[in-house]
Amino acid sequence: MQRFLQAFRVGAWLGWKTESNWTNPLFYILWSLLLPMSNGLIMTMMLRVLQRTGNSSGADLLPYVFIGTVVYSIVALLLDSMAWAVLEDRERMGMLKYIAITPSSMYGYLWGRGFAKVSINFLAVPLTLTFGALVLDIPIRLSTINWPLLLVVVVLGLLIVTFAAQILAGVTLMIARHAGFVGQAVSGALYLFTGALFPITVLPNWMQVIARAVPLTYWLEGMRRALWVDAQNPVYNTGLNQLSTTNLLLILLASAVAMAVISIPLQRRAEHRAKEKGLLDMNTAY
Amino acid sequence: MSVILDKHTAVEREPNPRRGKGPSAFTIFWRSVIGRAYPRIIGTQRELSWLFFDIFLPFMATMSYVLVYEAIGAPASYKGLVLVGGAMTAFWLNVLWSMAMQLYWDKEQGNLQLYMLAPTSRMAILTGMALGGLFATTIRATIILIGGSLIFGISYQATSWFALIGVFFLSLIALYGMGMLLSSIFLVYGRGAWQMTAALQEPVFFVSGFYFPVKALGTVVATGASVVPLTLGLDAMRQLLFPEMMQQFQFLSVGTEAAILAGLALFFGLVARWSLQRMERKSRQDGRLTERGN
Repeated sequence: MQRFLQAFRVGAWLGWKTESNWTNPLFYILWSLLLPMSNGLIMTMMLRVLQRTGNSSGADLLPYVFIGTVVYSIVALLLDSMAWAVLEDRERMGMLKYIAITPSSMYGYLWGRGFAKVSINFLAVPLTLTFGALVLDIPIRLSTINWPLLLVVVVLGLLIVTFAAQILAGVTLMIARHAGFVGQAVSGALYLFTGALFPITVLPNWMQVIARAVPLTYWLEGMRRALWVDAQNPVYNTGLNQLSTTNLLLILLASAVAMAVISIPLQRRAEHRAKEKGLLDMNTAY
Repeated sequence: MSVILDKHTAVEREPNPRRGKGPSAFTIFWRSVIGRAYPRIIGTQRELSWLFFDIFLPFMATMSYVLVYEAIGAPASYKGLVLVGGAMTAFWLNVLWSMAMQLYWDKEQGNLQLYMLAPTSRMAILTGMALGGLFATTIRATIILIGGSLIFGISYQATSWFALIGVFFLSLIALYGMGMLLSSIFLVYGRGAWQMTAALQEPVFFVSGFYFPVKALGTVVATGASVVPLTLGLDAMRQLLFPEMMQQFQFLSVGTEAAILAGLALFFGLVARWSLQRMERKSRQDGRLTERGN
């Protein structure tokens, strides 16, 4: 545990330096706002354009879509962060081999790198949600937020995404080339399957089955329930209205445990295999 | 006048005044263009996983946006509007990551110094990158457009295919000219270039109206966003493909937008050439052409 924490601290420190020292902190915070803010504004404009033609369904669905797209931006960042850290340290900086030959934990180091990226960008999510509430009239009010639920859902959700990112980092360790795409491909695919932008009931039946098997679908639903008082209104036909909040939390807890059980041995196996095959100092040049 | 004996035909002929001086500047320029375009066209086909991800990622994102309109029961033309914008994102991503950032990548990998040593114009190299990228990305965008249209049953009522193709190519010429300009600017940047490129990606999707008509943002924002050629290009293409729906969302007339795009194409081409010379000189003076990892 001590080795893990030490490596975590070093990874987080290095991650902070490599992510942010190209500019000053204020500009960096503004820069990190661009992704969630732009995505939220795109969705708002798409639905408002339709509203002008007399279709009011768009306006009704706006809180659902806005919260989903803003919260999902952290998923995309975290999923990509660890896989990218492996690629960057191995191919660009050539330092992954040095981490591997020290007695430190690569697992802890990669968690630190992911933590740095997410913690820097995490501030962007509440800021964008506040912007949505104040400027775009998204019905998120401090008085109606379910804070205990929000805290539990955020912690469980981040654990699930972090373990998932760890799995991708393990896969990246074993892939010779083009590993940079892994995080983006998975986050791109999950964008479609998690109901981030639209209720999963829109999807064909076979895709709904996949969507219900993805833990992040429940995380986004939990975030909506914590932030938006009307999230469980059956009129939105989200496909998850019938699920009680207790059951939703149990699903999230079980998912976090399952992801941990998968990711920890997979990372060890990936490290071992990468050493065996000499992949830790590989440089594929492009 | 001296004569020489042709070794193949054994016929006397006058000596070539250019003999011994090497190929003309024009020949070198086009050889460089072809040489730089070649890996972009052939390379991606050799690495099929790249081709898959280049199509798969924008396709998934576009499908997600189209499904938002599906969820609220919007007419098919609105889905078409999103699909056209989604297909065009491939060009914006290509310009950002494979044009604007390319000289930075080349600097990191040590190729830039080879370009500088080669007896060719840097504009030829950028033109080759643009043509190669344009060709490969057009194929990807076409697949996204056809696939999406088939899945969602979207039909188009093109008023003039000739005008549509013309506007499409004008937009791309102007866009890749902009890419050349950004490329020259990023030549002097360090790691900040990467972050600046990332910063340009999503906001441009918003202000240029990739997923909704740009007029919805108001005249002031739409006018400002017109500096990105795809803003006007998309608006014009949507007017030509969905004339009925776009009546209430038309920003400018197609003719005006085409004229502005032609102006932008010329402007970006000239400014990119000037900027490249200046930035190259500055990079040489500051010793940044061989700098790596900063």
